[in-house]
Amino acid sequence: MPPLRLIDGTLVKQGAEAHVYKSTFLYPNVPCLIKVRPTKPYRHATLDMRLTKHRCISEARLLNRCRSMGVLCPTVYFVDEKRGEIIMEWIEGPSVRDFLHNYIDDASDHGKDENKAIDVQLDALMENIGQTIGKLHDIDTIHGDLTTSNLMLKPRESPGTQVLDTADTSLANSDVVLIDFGLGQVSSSDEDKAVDLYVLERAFLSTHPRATRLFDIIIDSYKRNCLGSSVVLRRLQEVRLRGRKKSMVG
Amino acid sequence: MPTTLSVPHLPSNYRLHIALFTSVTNAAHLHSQLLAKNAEYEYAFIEPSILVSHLQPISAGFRAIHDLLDPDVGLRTPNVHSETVFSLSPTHNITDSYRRFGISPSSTSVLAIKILDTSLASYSESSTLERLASIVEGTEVNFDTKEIRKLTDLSKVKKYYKLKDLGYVDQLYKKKGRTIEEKSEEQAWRDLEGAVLGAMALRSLV
Repeated sequence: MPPLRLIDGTLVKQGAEAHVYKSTFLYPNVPCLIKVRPTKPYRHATLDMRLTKHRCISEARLLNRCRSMGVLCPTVYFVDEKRGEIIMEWIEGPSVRDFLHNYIDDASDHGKDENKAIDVQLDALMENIGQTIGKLHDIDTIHGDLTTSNLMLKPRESPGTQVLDTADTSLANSDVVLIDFGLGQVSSSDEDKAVDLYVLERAFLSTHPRATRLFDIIIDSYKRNCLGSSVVLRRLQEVRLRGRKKSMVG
Repeated sequence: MPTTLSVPHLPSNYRLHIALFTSVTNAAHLHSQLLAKNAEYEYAFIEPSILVSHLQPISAGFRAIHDLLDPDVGLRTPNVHSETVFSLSPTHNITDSYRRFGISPSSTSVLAIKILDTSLASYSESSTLERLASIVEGTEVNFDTKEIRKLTDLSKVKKYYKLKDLGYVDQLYKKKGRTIEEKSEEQAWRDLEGAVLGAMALRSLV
């Protein structure tokens, strides 16, 4: 399908599935993100269009569901499902992944006391992440790809707040925002929720070797905040033993 | 003064001309001219009480122009102005969308939008704006979110956009006896705006 318009924005990320551009919506001062799923020439054209359309629609629906039910994620502004485009709210702020990397790099430069102060803030951030995932699961939504890159830190908008970009900035004024629901689904099954947490655990431990303690705080916060946490956490034990795939086929 | 606006991502020759009026006295006349399909009155006349932010009607205009120019989609209503009103709707029912989001004979405030292709020889910005300012008899106020929120009818917005699940998680936790941090008024408006814009964007997918 020929593009209706050239995407006038800057490419900020390119994954296997989609290209992500930063641009503006309606007004030059309203930043937005455009997620485009380009056609894949190696797929049969009809199949390609169906897959693109389906994924685009399911992502937009999930985003909207979370946004209106009260889990923080980008607002959907516009969907062109035939071209696989979603225009959504731009979330300003670093990903938790970048944030943690900066923190770990910086940590060696600081004195012991200073580190302790940052640790307290980090604990608060983990608490916040656990709470956010708890909310997500309480509305029976599965993210499908919970990694630290898909968790953003958005500074709360209040007069005088600076954009958060370094480890020194106060975490107390930031919200955890979920992005990229491309692999998400609506499901109330404990298995799916447990796998969601398992994926996050793997991502956490592999990118941040010192983060075992941090992940424990997330689980603890999830336990206290998510209404259905006890069954899910029991299931998580099983998932840890056998891995993400329940059926051993394929 | 009415606002003139061209929108990112759309050809820049398409412009929206927007004006917001309160204390309107000729809504019945405007409504009857729309029904009579009088070309002189081809405007998007929107009922402001269903608006929660200034982005909402522009987003509808964006959608209308987008669909007009997209050969695979096209308009589902007679013209780009009726399409703008239809684009405010979260459902596919065109008649309902006019009734709910367009003006009624008893409207006392009106948001008027004129969309024009400025590359046409007949286009003149000054005469378009003059006509826009005079077609509705009322007091013109600034077209911005502050003025729009004064006119919002929250119960209507929640009903028409089917927002009974708005803030569901907090309600759920409250029911379980947890104390939930109260949202600031601004945050509540933002959440409402997000839900409304999302509902409009997902119309084609319902």
